[in-house]
Amino acid sequence: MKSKWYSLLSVILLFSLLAACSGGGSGETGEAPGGGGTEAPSGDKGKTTVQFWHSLGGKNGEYMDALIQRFNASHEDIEVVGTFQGSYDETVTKLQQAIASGTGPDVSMLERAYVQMFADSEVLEDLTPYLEGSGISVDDFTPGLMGHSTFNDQLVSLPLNRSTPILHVNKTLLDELGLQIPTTWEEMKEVANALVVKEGSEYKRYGVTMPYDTWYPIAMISQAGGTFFNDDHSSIGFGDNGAGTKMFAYLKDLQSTGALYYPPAQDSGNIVNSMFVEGKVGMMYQSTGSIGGLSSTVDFDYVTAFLPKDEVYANPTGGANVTMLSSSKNKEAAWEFIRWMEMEEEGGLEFILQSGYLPFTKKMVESEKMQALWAKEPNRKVAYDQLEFAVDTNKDVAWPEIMHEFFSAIEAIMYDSKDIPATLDTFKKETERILAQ
Amino acid sequence: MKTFELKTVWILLGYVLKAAVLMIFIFPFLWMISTSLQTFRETMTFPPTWIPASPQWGNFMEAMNAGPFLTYFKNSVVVTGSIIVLQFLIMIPAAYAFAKYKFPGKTLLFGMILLAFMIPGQVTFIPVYLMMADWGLVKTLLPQIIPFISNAFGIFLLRQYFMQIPEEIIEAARLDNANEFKIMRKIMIPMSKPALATIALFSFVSHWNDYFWPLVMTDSAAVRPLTLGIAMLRETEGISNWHIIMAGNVILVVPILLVYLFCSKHIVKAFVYSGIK
Amino acid sequence: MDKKRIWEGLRPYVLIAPAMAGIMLFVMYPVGYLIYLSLFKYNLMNKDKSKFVGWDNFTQILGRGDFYRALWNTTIYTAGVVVLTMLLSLLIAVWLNKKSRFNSVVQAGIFTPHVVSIVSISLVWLWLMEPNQGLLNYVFKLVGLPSSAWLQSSKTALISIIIVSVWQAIGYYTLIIVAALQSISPSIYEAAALDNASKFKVFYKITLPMISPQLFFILIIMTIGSFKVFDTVQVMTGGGPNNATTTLVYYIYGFRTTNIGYSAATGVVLMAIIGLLTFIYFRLLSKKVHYQ
Repeated sequence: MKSKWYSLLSVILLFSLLAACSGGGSGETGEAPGGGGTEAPSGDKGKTTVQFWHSLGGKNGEYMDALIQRFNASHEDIEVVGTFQGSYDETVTKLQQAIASGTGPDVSMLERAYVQMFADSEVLEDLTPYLEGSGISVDDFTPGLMGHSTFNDQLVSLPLNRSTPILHVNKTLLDELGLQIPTTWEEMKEVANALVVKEGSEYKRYGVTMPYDTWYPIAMISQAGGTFFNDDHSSIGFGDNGAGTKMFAYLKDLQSTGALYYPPAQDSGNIVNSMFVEGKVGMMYQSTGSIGGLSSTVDFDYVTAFLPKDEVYANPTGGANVTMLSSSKNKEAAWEFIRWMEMEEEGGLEFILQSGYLPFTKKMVESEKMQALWAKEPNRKVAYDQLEFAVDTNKDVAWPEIMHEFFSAIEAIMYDSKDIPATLDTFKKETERILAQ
Repeated sequence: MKTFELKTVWILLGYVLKAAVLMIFIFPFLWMISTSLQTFRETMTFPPTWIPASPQWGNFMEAMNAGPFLTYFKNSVVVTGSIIVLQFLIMIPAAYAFAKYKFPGKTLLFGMILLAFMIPGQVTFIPVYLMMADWGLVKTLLPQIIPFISNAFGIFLLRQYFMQIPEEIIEAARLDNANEFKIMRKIMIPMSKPALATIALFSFVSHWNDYFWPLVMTDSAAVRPLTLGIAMLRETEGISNWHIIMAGNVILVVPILLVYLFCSKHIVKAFVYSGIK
Repeated sequence: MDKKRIWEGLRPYVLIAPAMAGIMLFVMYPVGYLIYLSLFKYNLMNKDKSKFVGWDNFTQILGRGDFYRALWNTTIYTAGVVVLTMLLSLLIAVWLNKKSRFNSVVQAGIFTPHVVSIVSISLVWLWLMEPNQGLLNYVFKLVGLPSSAWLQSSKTALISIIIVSVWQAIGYYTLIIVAALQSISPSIYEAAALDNASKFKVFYKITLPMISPQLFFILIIMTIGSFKVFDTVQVMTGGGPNNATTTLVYYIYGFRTTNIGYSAATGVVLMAIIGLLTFIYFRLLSKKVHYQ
């Protein structure tokens, strides 16, 4: 009895010794292979260290690490240290506190919807002079992806890992039933309903599904001719013109017949993906980021298509941009990293080819490798072609705060079947209150 | 004869019921192990697969190769170990004083301990991070350790136990010229083993599994614990490899099970042998 | 002689000094900072853009429906979790009290939800509670019960979260209660047996009072622990649907990026509430607890 107790104590004491030795030690040496660099700009052999924070985990994180290694291998005087900082939201929280305490990185990935908020606090570097210095024009980038890049005439971010919602279709299933891929809301309603299989009170198969996100309702608001904010950003742009009511009424109508499966909020992306792979749903609104994973998993004829139109074709964009922080002490080196990543073939292009995110420069689009990939995987080209209709109308400093309220409205309608006009009216008032601040 | 049969039926029924309860509780645990041995395709089925067609042991290697796994592991061990040791060193004298002394301001000071126990990290993390950055500690393991050295929960629990130790034993020791540290070491600690084991277990589990605090306190891979390494396996967009993530989680849980096996025995047994009667 | 008396007077302070230092630095100072922030429309990244607003954040809190919603949710959650966990762990502890190999296996099994990471747990429960294909509704249908929308309806989401939390907490508290039960001297029970007291009476008159310090302790820590619930909400529902499961800490955390002054003010209100609650507990209950 007793001896065991003491052995536990001694093990714990051993821990503490270890802690005492390495607690401070790991800070000084930082030899971890994943990239524990020191912040001192004058590292070994006069190398400049550039800290880069990103939010890419899993496979995409590996592709990003590979990109950083390629950069470091080709630059003798600069060393980029990339660090994963959690999800997009977590990265934002960490950036805020790090900027406040002066421990921020030089370059950071930033989810596009937060760019305005950071720019408003004047912590992002205006990239215009750097672009001019390197002889790059804003027109070199894919226009549909530049929606969140400028703030008050400053160029504060450039596109990096960008995606867009797209329609994923189980073509085998549609062919069996002699159905065509829908291109309008009306056709979508017919096709989705035709796909439904109901046994008793239980749905064995649904028509279409989408993850729980603001993305898809926003896409559909634009398709119905509305905008998220009105022109002078004092209120919403889908209330009085009826676009919001129309969109939600349409979704509720589909949901009532099993034509639409609306998943639980948490982990919804995985749930809809699984259902699509299993053939439990015939079509799915989902990010382009899923194309790679889906094509390697499904055992049916899988194609992608434009999101169906109502009045017009329209789709928002998503993913993250890259920004340089004003507090950086190594701006030249930081810019070299951004420039290389954006423009060089072995930089961003390679990453885009591997990950399946959208090509963000015209040069990338025209490159042989990209064209070859598209010839092989037309599903990916559809995503790019759809950018012609990309429109982001939810751009505002206060968007992150308003997003919370919009989620509440979506939940009230989609889960609790609350009255649509009343819910949207409440949402409109909240939005106006926040925008007025 | 009849009563005997009835008794057997009751006993059997008890076993069945206990087994059922057991299943309800270890369900996710089994599922986690099962997923960690599945192929990607199997994890995609809905409803989930229960028994993998052929166990994929390679998933564990893949999880471990995804990052500087050894560094993560070492950090987890050092952080959790140091927290527990420091907590004990600080907690025992404090709990002793709060349990056995009367002194001006005691109620107020103990009230502060309780307040500390009530305030969650999600509310205080920003000021604490700013302070750590000010002190230049962000690149070390200390921001994950020192905020927890005063374990308010532990002081509270231990004080409850110390209060139950009869005054006479302490007085007798004092008459024998024992000083305060000797009293703590020879009387208070041995008599409150179950409480200490409970605290150690609770502390270990919560800090070993902690995701939030290390995430907001660390900026580089060199000082990160295992939980963050596993979170990194998740896909930001697209389809996550749940079989790999769960393999990581299984590795994460093994040390806790070992500590549990050790502590639970003490928590239960120590009572029976200890002086509290 | 005098020196000795001074030392004796100082001794308790010296003993608690390290603990108090830690609490001052990592709790009291941040709390002070929060109170300061709560008076501003604060911009963390660029202090020059901060605006002193006085009590505005507090008036805003008191005027907002979603704050009361969060407060109400937290209250219901806390009451539900505390009552259910106490009853069930007491029940299971009494049931598993007898020493046997199988009982300790079951005890260990009940404890596992406590050690498995919350992410794995939430994934399993999300699947179990999926309204159309989940196992729970399947079982409900088999035994003829009406199926539930679980996490997907604001009517049932909070109770679903309570179920998961109780399920997760039981093992730990069962362990504490079993330990307490086994510390009761058998001689007390023998005396009761001689008096021919009924089982229920023995439990009520002897067992409960004997373990009341542990029960009181569990009550306090569970109340506080439930009041600051965060993880479970974050991974199971993200506060939804329609704020049905937004608890106070989640509410506070939700404003951290967009409005830190408001977030800090809500934090101050939370502290006031918990402080009051604990004070009441101690006043009401501490006298009823039986110490040996």
